[in-house]
Order: sequence, then structure tokens, then C-alpha cells
Amino acid sequence: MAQYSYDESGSMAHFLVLTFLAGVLVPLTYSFVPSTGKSKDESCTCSECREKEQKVHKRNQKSLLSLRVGPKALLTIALWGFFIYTLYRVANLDIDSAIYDPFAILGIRAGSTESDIRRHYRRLSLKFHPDKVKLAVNETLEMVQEKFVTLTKAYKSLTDETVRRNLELYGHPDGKQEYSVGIAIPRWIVEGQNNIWVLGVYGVVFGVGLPFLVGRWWFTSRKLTRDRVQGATATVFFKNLRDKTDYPALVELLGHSWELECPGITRSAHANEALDGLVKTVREKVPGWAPTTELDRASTRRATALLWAHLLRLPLPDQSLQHGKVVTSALESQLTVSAEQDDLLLQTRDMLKSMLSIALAHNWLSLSVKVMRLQAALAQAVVPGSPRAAVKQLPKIKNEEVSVDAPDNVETWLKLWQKFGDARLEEAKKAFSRWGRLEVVDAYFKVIDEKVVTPGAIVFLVLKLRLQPPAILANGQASKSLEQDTSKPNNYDETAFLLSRKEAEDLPKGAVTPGLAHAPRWPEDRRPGWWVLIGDRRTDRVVVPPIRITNVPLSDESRPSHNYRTYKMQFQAPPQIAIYPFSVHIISDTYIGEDAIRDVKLQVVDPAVLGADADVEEDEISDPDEDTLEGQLAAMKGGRVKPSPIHGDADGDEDEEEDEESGTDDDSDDDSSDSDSD
Amino acid sequence: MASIYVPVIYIGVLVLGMLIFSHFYRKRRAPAKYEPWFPTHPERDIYTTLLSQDPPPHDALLKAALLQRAAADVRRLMRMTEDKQALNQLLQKGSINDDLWAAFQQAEREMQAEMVEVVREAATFKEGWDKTIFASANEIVLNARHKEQYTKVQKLHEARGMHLSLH
Repeated sequence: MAQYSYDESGSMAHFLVLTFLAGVLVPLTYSFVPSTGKSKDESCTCSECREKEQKVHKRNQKSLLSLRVGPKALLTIALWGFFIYTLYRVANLDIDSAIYDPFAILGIRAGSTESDIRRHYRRLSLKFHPDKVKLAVNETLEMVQEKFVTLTKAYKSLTDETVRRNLELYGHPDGKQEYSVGIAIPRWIVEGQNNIWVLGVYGVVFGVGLPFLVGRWWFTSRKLTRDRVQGATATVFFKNLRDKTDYPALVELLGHSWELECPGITRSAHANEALDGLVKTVREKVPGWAPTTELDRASTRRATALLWAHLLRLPLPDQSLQHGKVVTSALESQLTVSAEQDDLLLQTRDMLKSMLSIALAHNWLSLSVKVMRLQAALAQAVVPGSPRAAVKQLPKIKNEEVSVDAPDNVETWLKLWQKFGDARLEEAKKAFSRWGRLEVVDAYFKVIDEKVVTPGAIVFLVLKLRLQPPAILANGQASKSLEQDTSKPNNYDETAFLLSRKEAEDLPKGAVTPGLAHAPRWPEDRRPGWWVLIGDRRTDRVVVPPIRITNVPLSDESRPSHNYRTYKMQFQAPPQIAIYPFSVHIISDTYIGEDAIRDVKLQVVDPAVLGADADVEEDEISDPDEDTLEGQLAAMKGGRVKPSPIHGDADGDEDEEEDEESGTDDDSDDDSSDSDSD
Repeated sequence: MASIYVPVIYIGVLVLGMLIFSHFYRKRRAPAKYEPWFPTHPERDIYTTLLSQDPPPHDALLKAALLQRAAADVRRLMRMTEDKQALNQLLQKGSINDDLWAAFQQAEREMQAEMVEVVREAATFKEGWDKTIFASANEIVLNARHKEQYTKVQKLHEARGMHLSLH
């Protein structure tokens, strides 16, 4: 058995401990640093959004102030204590290993010349030579001799060639020193009488602690789905979502799953009572929320009522009860109810994501669109699918104002406000300064290096998008110049973008993207985003699953050549030759009534009637001889063996292109209003 | 010396730990009776109730009830085949849990048993009906679906007619 030398003095073990502790402590301490230094985006400057921002800020602040010393903090403090203690021990260690410095031994300046050294040594040897020295009281002859030897050695190491090399190579004038490496573990750990304890700790840590932690992580993460909702929630969604599910049923499903997401939620009896009152109010206002048989439970009803209260902009019930003796409890429950509403709203994001993936797995177009719109409705607190929902996004608008005969158009409202000098116009200007109607500059299908779409080809949907602010608010810009941008980017740029992995091209220089959205009733900051999907409205099927795009630039008239941003979506063309009347849906997840739906025809063409270029290419690749079987087969299929190009196909190509172009020229506004009814 | 006991204790602790784990794990897995995919089956209940009545009802009534039951099964089967594809996709993506998939498989097995039972029942009424009952049930379902579509179109048509007359 090898003889290991353990760390007797403990110096190495201390350094080992320090290294480990530092590795743990630095990230642990950093996690306590409040993350306020985040680069903040410009949020909406309207007064409602400001109020919300303050509220959100206050909520975060409060949680920071009421920061209790949790077990994590205690652990960190304890570890820091240990760290400092070890540091103290290390500082008090005397380290016996010193660097050999002949100058210091001789007592002269480092870097002295050789003659200086010689002279100095001679003087010293006269003084310290054992023959010359008179022994002092406590000195022995050995000590004196030793001192002289040391001096001589130092002198030699500076003058003698071999000794000098020894010093340079091994750090010592005598040559190679004995060199030992120990294990940085204190000896007491390996000592015989302790081994049962050491083994015990080892067993507990690796045999019990580690499996326990891994098991806990595994079992909790297994319960969650990829969309970060509970598996039970996804199950309920899967069983209850049908292609015809309507908005009230969707909201009820959300309310139902709230209990599944937070099983341990407890409200005070008072809050429950208040919520039951709310249920009654909401039921009167929402006729679509019928008491269904399966999901209609008290907990479901309460959570659903909370959601509807948000959508209908109802005040939460407890405020009317804040008087007399119940003040404190009422206030508390009011706080908790509104806090619960906020949590519930934030949780709906993941729930809706789960719903969306289920709808997409079924390829249901209308349900997918509904789920996306519900997200925007929740963000803006409007009743989804209701007429005049878009108008309610105007700042400080009252529920009563939006009556049945009110105009259903934001711009009309703004014009009216302008006409009557309404003070809210200024607010609206602030709110909508970074908001625009999504404008599809261009949308077409493109296959790289081909002019037409052949069956099974990889097709790109190229979208050129920008945001057009409401005309009335665009000061200075008198009229929307609707002239289409004709200067197409050169083909090289476009192909390079299509070949790249990015879903969106880099933001054009100088383009301004809207920052955070105007969403005063959403409990958090919100960044506007859009889903783009291709669907077939006749069969109600999703053809290409959605991608999410963000940072659509605002329209800027000063850049006429590239006043948009290009996005792409990749998919495989259908195998059958036909004209497919697809529609591109661009749906906002934050704004109501800003969706764009555009019908685009996808024409899949038989590769046999491709242009002459394709034939030539084909010939170059494989040149089937007419005598061979391949050549015969090819001839039977479409006559591709013939070297003569087929004339007139070039014209056909152009026709096809025109078809595509004309298909994209439909007005998007009409379509969006159409789609509300489905 | 202690050296002989150490490996014995080590193995003992290891085996004991595994036993405890498997005990609790199985206990948790044991009630893996998934709740039924379709909570109720009223058509089947109607049929069995009719069948068990003391003065047995008319044969035609029983046959009609059985046919209704088969039609309900066909409807469920259609929905399940539709669901299966989506479920497969969701499971691969991880958007649902394994439990739902297991529940679905259990539902499939139950569905199979239910259909076998219907076929067996059909055979008791008339020789050879067991081979055609599901074909007829399928016709019933398709017919109902067509009728539904037709009435919907008709309603739309009427609504549009009224709409036009208003202007």
C-alpha cells in the first residue's frame, strides 16, 4: 500500500475549503442581489399605464422590504461565517516555505554587480568566519559554522556557474530538493477511530440526500407539461376542447384549471362569500356562461368569475364592505382577492399556451385563433368576441360610453374626441404613439432558386410587415402614402435571408420598434407580439403552425426604400397539384382589432411543366440515354430526355407569378372584420 | 474486525433503501385506475335496463336500443381516432403527461370490449346481424351528420334571405 502523506499542518485543507466555499458563496450571494439593474424598455407614457407601473413597482418593492430571513439566507450567512473563520486561520498560518533569496541572505541590494558582491562577501567572511568569531553567550560553534556556510552558499550561488544554474532550475543552490505532494485532507478524516462517522456522513449525503433531491426534482417536473402547466390541467383541456368551443367555455376552462394549478389555495370565508356575490353579478352579464354539468363547481365558478370581472372591468366586490367592524378583514380579503386575480391572470399565459398547443395538435384553425385572441382580450380586459371591443382599449374610456350605437372604430372615436376637444385625446396620443395597425406590405410564397412551387418543395412565406400608427395621431404626416414599395430588395439579399436560420431579418437601420405595450389592466409589463400562421378557412384547418414574431418596426416615411421588416416561415408544399386558397393570419397577442388576415393562393405546379431551365438542369445531372430503360421511363413520364427546350413555358411562369401577386392584394381590413363572425 | 461487517452493512442498507423506495413507489402507482375517458354511457345503460326488465319489452325496442348503443360507440370511436393523432403529437412534444396517454389506451381497450359486447348481443337477436350492426350504425351516424349540415345550411340560407329582405 502506498504511503500517502496527509496534510498535517492543515494549510492545504484550508485552501481547499476556501476554494469550495468561494465556489458556492459567490453565486449564492449574487442571487440575493435584486435584479433592478435590468435595462428597462420605454413603457407607455399614458397616465393609466403610469399608474399601473407604479402599482407593479410598489408590489415588487413591498416584497423586497418584507424580505424575511429564509433558510437560504441563514445558510448563506452561516457559510460566510465559516469562510471568514477559515480565512482567519489561513492568515495566521506560518508558512515555512520561503523563496531562496541569496541577496537577502548576504544583505545587499538585489542586482548588485559581481565585484560588489565579491567585496561584500569578503567583508562578511572576515566578520563571520568561524576562526574569527568570538562566541557570544548563547552561541555554539555549530551555529556560527552554519551561518558561515549559508553565507558562502549564497555567495556561490551568485558567482559560481554550477551553483547558479542549480538555483535557476530548482530554486535552491544545493540542486534538486526533496519535494513532497500531500493530499489536502486533514488527517483526522482518515484516522481509524473516526471512520464510522466519515462513512456515515458519506452514506447520508450520497445514499439518501442525493437520491431524495433527484427524486423530488423528477417527480415535480414530471407533473408539469412542456407548457409549464400541471398535467391535470392539460388533461382537462384536452378532454374539453372541441373545434367549436366558444369564448365563455374557454374562460370557464381557465377558471377550472386555476384550482388544479394551485391546489393549496385557501381563501378566507369572507373572500369566498364575496366571490360568490361576484359570480351572481357576472352570470347576469354573461349569458354565454351557462352552468355546464361537468365543470360547474364552486371553486371553478369563483375563479371564472374573477376572470370575467377582469374582462368586464368590474370592480372587485369587497370595496363596498369597507366600513364598520369588518374594515380590517374586508380590506385584507380585498387585497388577497385582487392579488389572486393578478396571479390568475399571469397564470393564464401558460394555460393558454397549453390550450394553443392542443388546438394546434388537432389543426383546428378557428379554435387556435380564438385562443390567441383570448390572450389579447385578457391583456386589454375586454370581452372577447364582443362588438366594439377594440374601442375599449382607448385610455380612460368608461364602460357606459361604449353603448350599442357607439362607433366601432378607434379612429372614429379619436376623430370625435378631436372634434369635441376631449381632454383624453392627449392621453390617447401618448398611448398610441407606439402602437400601430399591423400592415402587411407584401406577402408571397417563394422557393429558393425556383420561380414556381412544385409538389413537396420547401416553400418560404415571405412577409414584409410594419406598424402603421393611426393616421389622426400621426402629426405632420398628412396622409398615409399607400404607394406600395416597389423597389424590391435585390435577389441576392433575399436569398441570403431565406438561407439563413433567422426567422426575421435584422432590424433595418434606424427603425423604431414599439417598446412595451399599452395594457393598463394587465398586471405586468407586456411586450406586443404577433402570431403568424397559415390556415385554410374552408376546411378550418391550420396548414402551417404559428411562429411568434416581435419587434415589428413602426412605419417611417423617411425611409421609403426599406420601410418594413421581412419575416419568413418555412413549410413543405402539399404533394398534390392544385391551387390552395390559404390565408395568412397575423394575430396580435396584446391588441384587439389589430389582426391582419390576408388570403394568399398557393399554386402548386407539376414539375414536368417547369421551364426550360429545369430541363437543362435535369439533363446535366443525369443524362438518360434514349436507349436505356431510364430514358424510356423518363420519356414516358414527361419527355424530359428531349434536349429541345419547351417553348412558351416562360410565359406560363409569369402568369403564375401574377396570380400570386393578385392573390395578395386583398384588403386586410375587410378580412379581419369578416373573421370576427366565424 | 469491523472490516467484515462494513460490506455486509453496506449491502444491507442499499437493499433496504431500494425496498423502501419500491414499496412507496408501488403504493403510489397502485391506484392507477384512470378515470374513464367518457364518464357515462347512457345508451348502454338504457339497453341493459331494458334487457333486465321482468316482462321483457318488445324485440323491436331492444333492437333499436342496441342500434343506438352501436351508433354511440361509432361516434366515440370516430372521436377517439381523431384524438389519437393529436394525442400522439402532444405526447411527443411533451405537452401532456404520460398519464393521459395511459388513460387513453385504457379507454381504447374498454372501447374494444364494448364493441365486442355489442356484436355478441347482436348475434343473440338474429343470425348474421353481428356482422352488419356496425355498418348500419355507421350509416346512422353519417346520416345524422349530413342532416345536421343540411339544416345548418338551410338556416344560414333563411338568415340571409331575411337579411336581404330587410334591405
